[in-house]
Amino acid sequence: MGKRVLITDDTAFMRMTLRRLLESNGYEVVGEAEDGLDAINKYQELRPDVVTMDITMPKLDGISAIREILRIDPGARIIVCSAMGQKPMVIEALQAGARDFLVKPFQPQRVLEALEKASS
Amino acid sequence: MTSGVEMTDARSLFVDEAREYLQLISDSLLRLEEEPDRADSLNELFRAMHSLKGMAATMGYGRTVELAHASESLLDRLRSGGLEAASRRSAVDALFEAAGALEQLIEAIASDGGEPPAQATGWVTPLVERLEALRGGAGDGAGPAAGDAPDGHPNGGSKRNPTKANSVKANPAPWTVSVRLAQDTPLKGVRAYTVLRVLEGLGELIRCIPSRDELEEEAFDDRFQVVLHSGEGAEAIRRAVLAVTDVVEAEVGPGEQGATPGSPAEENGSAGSATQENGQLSSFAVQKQHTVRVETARLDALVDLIGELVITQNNLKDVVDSRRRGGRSGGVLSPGAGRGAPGVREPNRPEAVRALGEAPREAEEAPQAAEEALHALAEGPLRRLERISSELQETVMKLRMVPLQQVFSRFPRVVRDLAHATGKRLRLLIEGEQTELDRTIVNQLGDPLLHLLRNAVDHGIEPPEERLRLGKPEVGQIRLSARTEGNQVTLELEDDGRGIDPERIRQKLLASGRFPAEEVRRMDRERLIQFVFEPGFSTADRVTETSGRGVGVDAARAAIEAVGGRLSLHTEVGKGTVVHIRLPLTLAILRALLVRAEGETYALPLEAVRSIEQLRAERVESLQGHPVMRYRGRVIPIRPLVRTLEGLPPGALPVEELRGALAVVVESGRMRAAIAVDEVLGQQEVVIKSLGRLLGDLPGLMGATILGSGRVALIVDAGFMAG
Repeated sequence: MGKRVLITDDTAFMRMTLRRLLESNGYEVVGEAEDGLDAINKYQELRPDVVTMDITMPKLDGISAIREILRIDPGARIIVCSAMGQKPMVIEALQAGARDFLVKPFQPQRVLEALEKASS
Repeated sequence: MTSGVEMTDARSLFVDEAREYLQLISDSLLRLEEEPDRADSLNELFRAMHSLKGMAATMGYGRTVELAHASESLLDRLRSGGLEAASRRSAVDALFEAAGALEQLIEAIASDGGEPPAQATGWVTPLVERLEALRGGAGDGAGPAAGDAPDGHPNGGSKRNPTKANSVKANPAPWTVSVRLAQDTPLKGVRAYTVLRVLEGLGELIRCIPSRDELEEEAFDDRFQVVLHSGEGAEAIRRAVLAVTDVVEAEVGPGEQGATPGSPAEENGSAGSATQENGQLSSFAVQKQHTVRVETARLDALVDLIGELVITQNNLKDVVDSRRRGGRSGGVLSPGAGRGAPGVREPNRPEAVRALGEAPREAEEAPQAAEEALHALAEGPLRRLERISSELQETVMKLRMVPLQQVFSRFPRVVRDLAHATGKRLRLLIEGEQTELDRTIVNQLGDPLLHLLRNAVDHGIEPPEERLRLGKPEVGQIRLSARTEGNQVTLELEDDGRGIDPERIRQKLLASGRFPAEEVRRMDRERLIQFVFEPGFSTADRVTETSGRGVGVDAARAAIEAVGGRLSLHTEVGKGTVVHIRLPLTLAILRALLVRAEGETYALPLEAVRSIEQLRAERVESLQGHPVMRYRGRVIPIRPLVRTLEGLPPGALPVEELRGALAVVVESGRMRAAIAVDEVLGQQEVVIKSLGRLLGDLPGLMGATILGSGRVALIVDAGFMAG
């Protein structure tokens, strides 16, 4: 009920799309991060229930951010978001400890399913 | 959670899909009831129930989840073949009930914006308990995260926390896990990898079919199998796998199918059906429709716009035509071409001739040769415009068409339930369910058809003993058929039951004292049968649960006529009853007869028009102060159009005034009337516009249309005039 989510993506549009989808389905989006470093900082500050993590981002990529967040909090629940054709990176992210993955363009049902599973 | 009064996108999507799943569930249950051993029905049911549960869980509809989960668990039990025939039957009955209950919940969500409060859904709990009892797995709560089920594995532990990594038990046993991913799973290689990781957390992977490399290279369609040594129970493994996104199906059977013969599973023999033949998993045709969901309001807006386009084009055409003609003959010149209010293709309008004097003055002043050249130029493009817009119109009309299946599909279930409730045996045959009709009409058909169907089961079909005694087949038959005939659709609902006995209607009428006994005794069969269309008239001896509460055939007929259809009924004592329903293909466009009365143009649905008659003096008579005329052996009332619409009694009009006028004979149901008008202008396709809130529902009018002249013509409801 009202799980707290941190959205990480370098494009404002993707952040907004996810925010709308999640908020209209009962999630609380507690923060938005624009890159991996931002995500790590905001994670420590906000301690969300779930993080969505884009892979390709400036400053620090998603995979490194996943590793770092899990080092800080081994119980962190992170869903990696990738575009088509990033298969090796998705596997790397899962090996790094991501709970699930989503492929862009997002299908709302899948996003919600992944969020629900990751946060329960 | 979703909130707000208006339907949010997510909720409307949920409701739409939930309805589709419920339909699927209902269909599969019916199939399952007929052929209890069909694995595909069971699997389909299971999948649909599972998806419904997942969706409801996403939306946070707890009661729906609870019910779907209990149903799913029972289905799983059915699928594993662990129930005796008798229990299977009660299981299917309970599942039917669960489907009905889920439907109630979903409809409540659709109309109220959420699940009803807990105190209003207390009835769910006993049903859930029944489903659980039937499953025989008492103790497994409704919570999807509940513990292991005793799946009969020899070494199956009953450990909690199945997802904790590396919790391999002292006695790990082989399991074969069959997984199916959603058909459109993105990066399915990675998804398979995710599943393998989850399984690795539960035990030791022995092998994968296809191989791990092939899986990661996406060299599989949507299924794969994994042999796993694990101390976890089958249900725990299954749940862990199902928890992975995009996994739509997971089955766990003991042993290593196709690997180690003689494993404990073989003697046990309780493996899930789908895992029994390795690699021979029954394939489901997952139908993927190439469709787009469009809000119906947008479609309606499109139809409206095309209506406007057609009107404007008619406008333009009139200008061009009249100018061309104007250049030469001028005899049938349409009025006012130069005033921007040209006439329509309304033949022989006398005021057109009258208006000739004030007709296009500029046209006469312009150099005639240049005029004609200009119009010759305009004509080609105009014809093309006409062709394109008529194709456009047709295409958009098709967009509004939906198959009758949408309505018919719920009937098998209804008939089944009715048969159970009444102890009758019957078969429902449905033909032509692919026949397409305007969405608006299809949406309005459900209730009247349902009512007629109930009538047929309740009053038509006799109980089995009676049928046998009468020498009829024990199983009654109801046939519902649909077919397209020209620009109409004909529906027939036929039963082979007892029919309607006109004598019983006569008795009933005599008992009611509504008419003088003498009159009732004289009434012929046809006349008597007409009384079934009267509100509240029922020949049923007793009020049953399903029908006969006074909402009669009359309500069904009114509903059919409201969408421009006609309903008639033919019945034969001892043989059965046929209800004929004729419906227009579309509501948006109507073929109309344009008439003129008291200076205004009106449109009458051509469908209802039987003939046009001259009211010659010798044909018009007065019957008890009402004007009537003889028409094909019957006496029918004459109703002056405008007066009748205004609600004035026709009797006030001297019969003499009608003599010499024109009468359009219309028919609705079995009622006929002659509508007196001043003039008949001709036929035309008109675009029906709603009268709008301002005028609301005026009795006697179906709507309005805009003529080529820009003038508004009211469309008269033939049912009102004839009735």
